[in-house]
Amino acid sequence: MHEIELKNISLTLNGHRVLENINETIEKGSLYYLMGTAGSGKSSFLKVINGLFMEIEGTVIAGGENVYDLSPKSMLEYHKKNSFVFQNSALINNMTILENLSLFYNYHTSLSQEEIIEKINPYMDLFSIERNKLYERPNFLSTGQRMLFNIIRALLEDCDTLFWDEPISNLDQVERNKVKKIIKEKSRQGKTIILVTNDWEFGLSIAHNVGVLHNGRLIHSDSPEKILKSKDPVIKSLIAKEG
Amino acid sequence: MNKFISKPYRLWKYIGGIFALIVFSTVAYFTTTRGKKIVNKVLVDQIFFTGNMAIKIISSVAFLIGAITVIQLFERLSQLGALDLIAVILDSVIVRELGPLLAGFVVIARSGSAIAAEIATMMVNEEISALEMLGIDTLYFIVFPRIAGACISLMALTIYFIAMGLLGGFFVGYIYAGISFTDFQTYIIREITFVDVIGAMLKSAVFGIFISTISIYYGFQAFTSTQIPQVTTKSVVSSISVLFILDILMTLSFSL
Repeated sequence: MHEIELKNISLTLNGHRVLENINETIEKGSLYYLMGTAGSGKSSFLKVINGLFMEIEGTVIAGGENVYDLSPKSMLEYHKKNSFVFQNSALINNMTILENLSLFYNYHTSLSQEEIIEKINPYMDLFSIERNKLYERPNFLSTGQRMLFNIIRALLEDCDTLFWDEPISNLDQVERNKVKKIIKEKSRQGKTIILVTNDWEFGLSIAHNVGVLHNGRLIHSDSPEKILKSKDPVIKSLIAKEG
Repeated sequence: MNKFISKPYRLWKYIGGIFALIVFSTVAYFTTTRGKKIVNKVLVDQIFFTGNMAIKIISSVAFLIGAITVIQLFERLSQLGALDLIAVILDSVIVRELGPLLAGFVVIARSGSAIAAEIATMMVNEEISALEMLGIDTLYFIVFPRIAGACISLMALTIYFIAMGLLGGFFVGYIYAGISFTDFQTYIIREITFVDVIGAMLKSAVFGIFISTISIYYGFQAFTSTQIPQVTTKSVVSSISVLFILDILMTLSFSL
């Protein structure tokens, strides 16, 4: 069953063609790994699926409906079903970390602050983060710590579709392994995952399907095995770069 | 786009965008029930930010304007033997005109620019996208509290401006001509009618709505960090122009 279907997607930002005629399907419960060089349009690809652009060409079908035809209310409901780990953390800077992490529950539920903290605590333990960091503002934390809280914020939503945009690039090895374990676990639970990472070994090892973006075009969409065996110079350069 | 079409198109987009932000954010606030507590907290923060933070500058500006106006009027009117007109002129200048207008300028300089820069930074840092991905309506959570906060604060600041302006006038009158508080009350405060104060508050409410909405509108136009100072400057320039236009339109409509 198709979870997400992209038909003839093109995107222009500030006069630059970012995505060009993308056609792709992502199956429900699969892990889709998107690889490509810097600036090839990977983040835009994820945002297009989530309706985060005002105007695109083509259609994005999710749950049987065109995302860009959804009413504002339906769009909010669609967003609630997806969680997004942003490449640059995107924590709200004028709020404390606790306020950032509680925002989803404070807005959508009537859970008390204690109940929300109970939900946050296991992740704080998992990543061995001191509790006092919860009361700091994102600007005062390191890039790695901000990324961890960005990941925790997305995990707290407990959505069925997860978008991960370079979740491990700013983390140390120990944290990387923990995040990789979480992604594997979520995939095992049957969640639909769309992953962007420069760690191609990890990506290819867990993906069900792989897309390769180059200059805004989806030049390959195949199984990880076929991608590994590909003789395409773009793929070879992507793998060689990291290797 | 053809340059003859692009200008009216941009103006139409701008006016449409401003009114859409006002209408849709207000509708969102009154039709959404969830998250009211945190949205109201943002609203209170905005009132505090716009109102409380501007009190110092409003105090000094209003006091000095009141004092200067009385000094100027006292000299000229005593030469003409028309000192009884001082109350009428003070009412027209401080209460009806300068109170809302100068309080509006202070809010543009302090809060309007800050709102534009804040929203622009949130856009560039993808904080707005992050809020949307949490299923949070930004019209409800970001836009409405800032519009309502500026509107409420500017009304309160205008009343405060008028009070401080009159106090400045009294202070100079007392030092300059030994006017007692009783005389001041008899000749000046009595001249200020309830309608004048309501008119000033109405003006300041409209100013507050438009200053904040213009700032928010421009904030949402930023996509790169280099655009943050550009949209902030545009918001200030545009707010000042719109403030004058609104002032003229409202003054004319009140005088009809």
